[in-house]
Amino acid sequence: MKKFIVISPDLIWVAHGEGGVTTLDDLPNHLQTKEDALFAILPQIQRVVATDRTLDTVMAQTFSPGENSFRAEPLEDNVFQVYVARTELLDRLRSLGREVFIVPYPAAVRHALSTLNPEAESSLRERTRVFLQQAFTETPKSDEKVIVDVLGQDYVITALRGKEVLAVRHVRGGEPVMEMQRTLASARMDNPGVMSRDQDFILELQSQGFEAELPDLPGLMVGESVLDKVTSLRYLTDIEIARERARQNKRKAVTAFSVGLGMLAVAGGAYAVVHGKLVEQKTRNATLMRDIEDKQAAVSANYQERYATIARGESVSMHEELFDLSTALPPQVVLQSIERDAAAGLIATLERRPGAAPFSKSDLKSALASSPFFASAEIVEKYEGHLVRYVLTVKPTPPGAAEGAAPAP
Amino acid sequence: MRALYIFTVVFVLASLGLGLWAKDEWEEADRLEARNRGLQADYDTLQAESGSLDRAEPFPLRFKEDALSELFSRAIEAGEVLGAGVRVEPRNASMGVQEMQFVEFKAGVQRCEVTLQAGLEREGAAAILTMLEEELAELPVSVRKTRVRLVGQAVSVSMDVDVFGR
Repeated sequence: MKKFIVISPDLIWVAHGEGGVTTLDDLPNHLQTKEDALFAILPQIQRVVATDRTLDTVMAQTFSPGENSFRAEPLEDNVFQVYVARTELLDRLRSLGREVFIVPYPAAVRHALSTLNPEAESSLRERTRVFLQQAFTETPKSDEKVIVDVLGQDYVITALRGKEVLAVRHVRGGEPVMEMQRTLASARMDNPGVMSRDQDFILELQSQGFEAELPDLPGLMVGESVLDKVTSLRYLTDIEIARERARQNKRKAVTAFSVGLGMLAVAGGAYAVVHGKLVEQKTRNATLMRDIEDKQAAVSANYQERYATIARGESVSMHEELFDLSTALPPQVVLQSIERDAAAGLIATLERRPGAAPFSKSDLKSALASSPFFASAEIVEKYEGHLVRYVLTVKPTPPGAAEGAAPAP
Repeated sequence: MRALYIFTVVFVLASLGLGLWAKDEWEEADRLEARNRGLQADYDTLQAESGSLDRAEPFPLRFKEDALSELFSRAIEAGEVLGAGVRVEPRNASMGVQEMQFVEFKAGVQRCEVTLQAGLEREGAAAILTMLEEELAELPVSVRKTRVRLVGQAVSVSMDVDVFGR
């Protein structure tokens, strides 16, 4: 593949073979029909704030569509480095060979520098980190570079700050140092490192106090050896743009399809889990209902079979207490009524006989002391006119105490 | 490509549908789970009830009409033998209740609340009461409350009795 660096229509550097200079009109003589060629051109440089979606619109406001073509690469979030070229020039170059690649020359220069110093290609964030780390160890080395390619009386000046190309100029004749300083001023650069493949120019710069060096790269121009390394930034034809858009659209469609499929899988999985839970609960519900029904039938049958025993056990009887009172009561009192209730306990009402011998509550207590039922009775003495009544109350025994359980604390 | 987008839309809509469906089923499963907890508690109660019943001696309940008829016949017969005027009437007869009514008391068990009244002579009242209580102890009844009141030389006995049948 033959390589050329198109500096201007009148100055094209032949970057293969022995090298040399030619013109645009003379280019067909250097290329046979159906031959592949790689051209590097000097584009207009633009720093554009936009998004992927709005980049075309923003560019169309500055450069009229159709007349200009551009190639963009992201610098930061929503900031693009744009290389603008005349469509006419691109078409003319494309007509010269079978397969023609056209790339921006500054990108090749930057790539060449990155091969010399791999840190220069690092991202902005990485550069910041390196800068901060070095601040404590040594004088920070600026990431600003100016590359001057000398072709006789013509100079190509490329200004770089890290990954960003600040300017690229072709200067014909004049004082190269002066032109370089103009470039520095326009790009607001402060004492950048200068590189050139021209040793005399380097010596001249060094004599003027510039930090200049001769890079160890093949060829007369700094970027000529790596032109084929930046073909990813080549200017695309309409068909290539359409293909790339088609590829992007396909990628988006596949991504959307994958996301949709993933959503469906997740939703399906979630549904399967939930449905499983529902089925489990329904089964459990049916089992419980059946068990309860069976148990209710069993309990019902059991009640019919055994409740009579329980009912008899809950009965209260009073004949023993009545016997006991009839024998234990002293002659001064007579039993009026006795009542037994499972909840209220045993309540007996006594009445003092009229004209009986002197009698007191303590006499009644001592008379009942040996009674198995009334020994612990609470006795309340009531006076109603000339009548004296004694109400004996025996609280019901709790079921636990009746079975000999320990009393509650 | 269009097919991919169509499929994507279909997948997303299907996902939404499945999600909504899953949400409904989740809520239904939650409701069922809460209901099952209640049913489990009911079952545990029944189990405990059944366990306590198993400890009681078997004594089958009669049909409710038979239970009431037996109470009448034996109580009144005993009253005649013991020389006591025995009367059985609904518990709330004083409040206008005229008929013996059985109501559901427990599963498979019907209950009728009656009051048994007897008039005895004072002498030997305790012995007669004893025999009366023994007579009742052979029936599927529960004596809830007994009141004995001395009125001159007579003794009035009143018993609140629950009669059980099936």
